[in-house]
Amino acid sequence: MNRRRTIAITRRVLRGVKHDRRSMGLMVVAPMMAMFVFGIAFSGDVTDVPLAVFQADEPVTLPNNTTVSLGASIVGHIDTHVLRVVPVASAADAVAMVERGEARAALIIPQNFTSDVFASLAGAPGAEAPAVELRLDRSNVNVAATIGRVVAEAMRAAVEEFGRAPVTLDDSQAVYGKDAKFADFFIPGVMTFAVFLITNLLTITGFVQERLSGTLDRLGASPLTAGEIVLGYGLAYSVMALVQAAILLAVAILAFQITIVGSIALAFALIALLAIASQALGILLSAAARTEAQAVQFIPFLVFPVFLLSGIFWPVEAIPPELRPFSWAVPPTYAVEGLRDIMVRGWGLEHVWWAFAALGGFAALFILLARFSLLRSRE
Amino acid sequence: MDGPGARGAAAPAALLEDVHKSFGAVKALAGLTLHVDPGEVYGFLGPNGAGKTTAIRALLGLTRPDSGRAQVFGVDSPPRAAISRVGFVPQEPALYRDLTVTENLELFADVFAVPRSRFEERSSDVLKFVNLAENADSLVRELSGGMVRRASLAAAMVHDPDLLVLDEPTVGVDPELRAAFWDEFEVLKGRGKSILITTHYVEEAHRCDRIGFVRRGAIVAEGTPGELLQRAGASTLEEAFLAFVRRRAEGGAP
Repeated sequence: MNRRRTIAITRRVLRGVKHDRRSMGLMVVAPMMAMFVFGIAFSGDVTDVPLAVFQADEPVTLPNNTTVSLGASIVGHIDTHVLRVVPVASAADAVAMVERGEARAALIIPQNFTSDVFASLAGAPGAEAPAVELRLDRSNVNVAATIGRVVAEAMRAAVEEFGRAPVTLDDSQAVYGKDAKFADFFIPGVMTFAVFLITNLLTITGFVQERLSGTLDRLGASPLTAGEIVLGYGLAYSVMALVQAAILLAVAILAFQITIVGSIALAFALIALLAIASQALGILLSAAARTEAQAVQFIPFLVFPVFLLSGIFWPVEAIPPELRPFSWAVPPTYAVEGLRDIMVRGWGLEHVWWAFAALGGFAALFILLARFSLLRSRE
Repeated sequence: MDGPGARGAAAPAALLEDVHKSFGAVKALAGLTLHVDPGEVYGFLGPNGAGKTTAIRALLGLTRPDSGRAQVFGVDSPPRAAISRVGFVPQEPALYRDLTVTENLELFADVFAVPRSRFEERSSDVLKFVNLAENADSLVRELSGGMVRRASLAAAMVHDPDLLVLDEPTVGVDPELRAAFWDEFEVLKGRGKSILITTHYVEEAHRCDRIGFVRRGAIVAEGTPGELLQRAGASTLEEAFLAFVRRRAEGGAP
């Protein structure tokens, strides 16, 4: 292994990208676009959903002369950023609005709700716990789940206001990710996805070009070894991945206010390792393509499994159990999980060593195979 | 560096001895034998598909012969120990289009271990040699086809090799530039360099010290241009080539 020769390859790859605006754009702009698109679209913040509310409850005057209406209080506690309350004149009107698609749910609070609640709490004979009715349009489960959550929160808040809550749930002290938002969850995913995909894309097309243009032959008739070529490429792509990651992180911090609890250096090291594995995989795949157009056809085969299996946008736990073993067969899974452990949980190497070990293993395997494929092309 | 097949004191710059190579059912080389002496310009002449490129690839270790011997300066193929004495210009321009001419040269200087202190001098020498000094900082993709060919030759010469292997370096090059290339080759030869060049331009062959006519993976005749014309009783090398092919088909000696 000769350092000057290896670095010469690294430098030539970096210089090529520097002089090629398209590659630069692909490296920097595409992942940023992905981040904004996913960040905004998947942010989980459903807002301004119309909710038809029929509130028939009447206030009750307590012995201490205060008047309360639990029903009014529930409506008052609804997070109006998420749900837009549309008061209607009857339960039937509320449901009709949902049926017409003008509201996503109908919230119906019955007459005498407050007095029935007190009666039920006092243990009056024959008194049943009164119910607030929520008639959902479950055609969109995401929106429906959000409505359910917001209404339940409003009910809890209303009950707590009167000090009547028999039990409360205190989830304010999270073990990890105390202030974590959806962005904190998806940014590691976007970084992984961008580095994996773009590194692969650039190496596959770059290497097909090397073969077609004859430069690979020229390198073959030089003192360079196959191993030096693969490592030189690997170094170049890890440098590029670090630049990508730094830009993405900067944007994530500025635009999405994510907080990084753990060591950024450790996160970057994991990204560099992912890039090395991805580029060696790219070299390997390029051997099977005769033209750049063929090379591009590999991309869907890379994107879909990785997108679905690697836990970028939904946790591996959300994947059917039969498919989960495959999740652990795609390298990006380790990068996503490892990055989340570092960035959100603040874990150090003593906890995330397995991610480094797994990605290092993939990188070593792919480098060996890529080297072998280069040597084989000389048969 | 002396090895088997050495002629006199020095081993041939390039040697192929009874080399066979098949790709599936296609026989690319069928017992090809040739040698290039130090300081010699050897022209490798034949139609497309005759096996010229495969012979070069076998010589440089880019493809493994099925049988036979391939050597560069007495080192068996793949000639790692001698490869830094070789400059190779493949058929395609084989340069990085997104790099400048100088950056390309720098890559090959690094790969061939040209001392850093000597790079400036070497790159300016070779660029003057191919008349591209003014384009040193141009991106290769911005150059014309002929300029790219010349830059490709410069990249093969930056480490001052003793043997230049040129696979059809003049295809698609206009006659004026082709003549300029040959003037350059003469200069190199004068400095004791060996050149193995493939071509199918017959007029180029006249400028070689020796020519090998190749057909279907084997040499059908070899000698100086004058000898070949005389032996074939022909007035042009093209006629000579056809005459030798005919004789071989009839089973006669070349």
